Amino acid sequence: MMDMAKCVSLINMKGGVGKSTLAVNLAWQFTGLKKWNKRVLVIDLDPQFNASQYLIGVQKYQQILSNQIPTVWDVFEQMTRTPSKTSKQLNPKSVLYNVVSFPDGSRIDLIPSRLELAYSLRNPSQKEGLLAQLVSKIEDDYDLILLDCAPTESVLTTAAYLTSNFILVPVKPEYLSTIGLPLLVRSIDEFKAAPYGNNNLQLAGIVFNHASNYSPEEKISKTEVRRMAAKNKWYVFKSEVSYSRSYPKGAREGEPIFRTSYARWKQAFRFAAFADEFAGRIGL
Amino acid sequence: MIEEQEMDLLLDLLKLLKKHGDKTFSSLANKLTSGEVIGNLSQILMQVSKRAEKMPRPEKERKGKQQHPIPKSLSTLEKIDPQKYGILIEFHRDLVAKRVLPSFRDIKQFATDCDLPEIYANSRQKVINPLIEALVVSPNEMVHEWIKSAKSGQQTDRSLEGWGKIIMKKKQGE
Repeated sequence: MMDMAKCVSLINMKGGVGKSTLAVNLAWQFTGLKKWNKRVLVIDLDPQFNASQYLIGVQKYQQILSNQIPTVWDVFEQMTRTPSKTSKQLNPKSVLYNVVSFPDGSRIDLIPSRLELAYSLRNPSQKEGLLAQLVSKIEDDYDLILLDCAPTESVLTTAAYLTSNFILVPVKPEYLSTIGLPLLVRSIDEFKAAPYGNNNLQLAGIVFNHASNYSPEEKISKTEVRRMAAKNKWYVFKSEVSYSRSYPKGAREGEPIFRTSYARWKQAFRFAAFADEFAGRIGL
Repeated sequence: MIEEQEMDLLLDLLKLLKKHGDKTFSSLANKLTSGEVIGNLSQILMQVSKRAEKMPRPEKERKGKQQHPIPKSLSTLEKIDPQKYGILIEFHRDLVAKRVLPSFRDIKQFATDCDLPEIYANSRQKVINPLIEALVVSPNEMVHEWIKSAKSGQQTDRSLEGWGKIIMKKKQGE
């Protein structure tokens, strides 16, 4: 019997903490390395579509738009009726865009996002369960599903909670960034208390992203986060994703850290250590 | 009494006499002493100067300046497989001019990606010819694909301009 796909939302109510970079690098880690050979689906749930930009580049993204290939926007708008269009259930396979496939069967697929996803937030009624419904029809084809979430409380956040088994929280160790953490916990608590709440949702852990172990501010921020985590019994990953100029460079090149040109192996090894710990936490 | 500098000139003239032969030497000496040549000396000197510019440099000197001679195996390919020769000679030129795979590491990475045998070289300049030699003996269709991907790799698909066109167009269209 095949194991169920592990579905993980990367979320923080603060923007700019490196969610998309982390999501894409995790996807590559579990597909590109022989050690893992996993089938990974990345769902870009952010109207700013950074994960899509990182994974497929300008030309392929333009093709998606030109050829009217469905995106995550279509998932949320499939039941919307307009004078020119009646509601029609979306074929789940039609929204999957293959980014890379390896001979051993491992691959990264993407459900891309688009700017118009922001408009779905204007009329959010009865849309929150649509993504979970779609994922339930395709999850057997994957070992890991990563949802790259937008940093705001909206129907997209609820949709992510309903779809996921785990939450991974990247935290940049600096003052304003850490405040996103209690905001997120409040959001999760409110979701669990709601009638439609998914009580199986677990916090996989908090990972320090962009860490350099250098400035006093960073040390203070980490201490505060660890204190809050201990009080609430949240897991904080021992491995940290360190700050490196190679991460933005990798995004420009469309490559993960272990394939980014001139990236130091030290950075790749550190990321691999985090990926190992993450896999252990979610039972991958 | 002959001066030292005049002695040097005499020695040089003797060398030239040996090189060109006494017949040519005395023939030219007769013409130089005639009034006709002296009258047209400036014109003659200009002709001599132009001829000197057109003269090819010695083979040895040219070879010394050419830092990337074409590998022998590639030259041999010209008659056996002109199409592959054409592709590889262009690739060689692009590599030398750094239009493709501009760094040493790019070339090493390219060789690794193509699964070519390990190239032992410690500089970009030294790695070009072994790479071309490895491509000469690789299957044609693969070589074609590899070179195509190396060239396309130089064009970025991640530019701000590219994303800007997608994002701004949408906003204007609404």
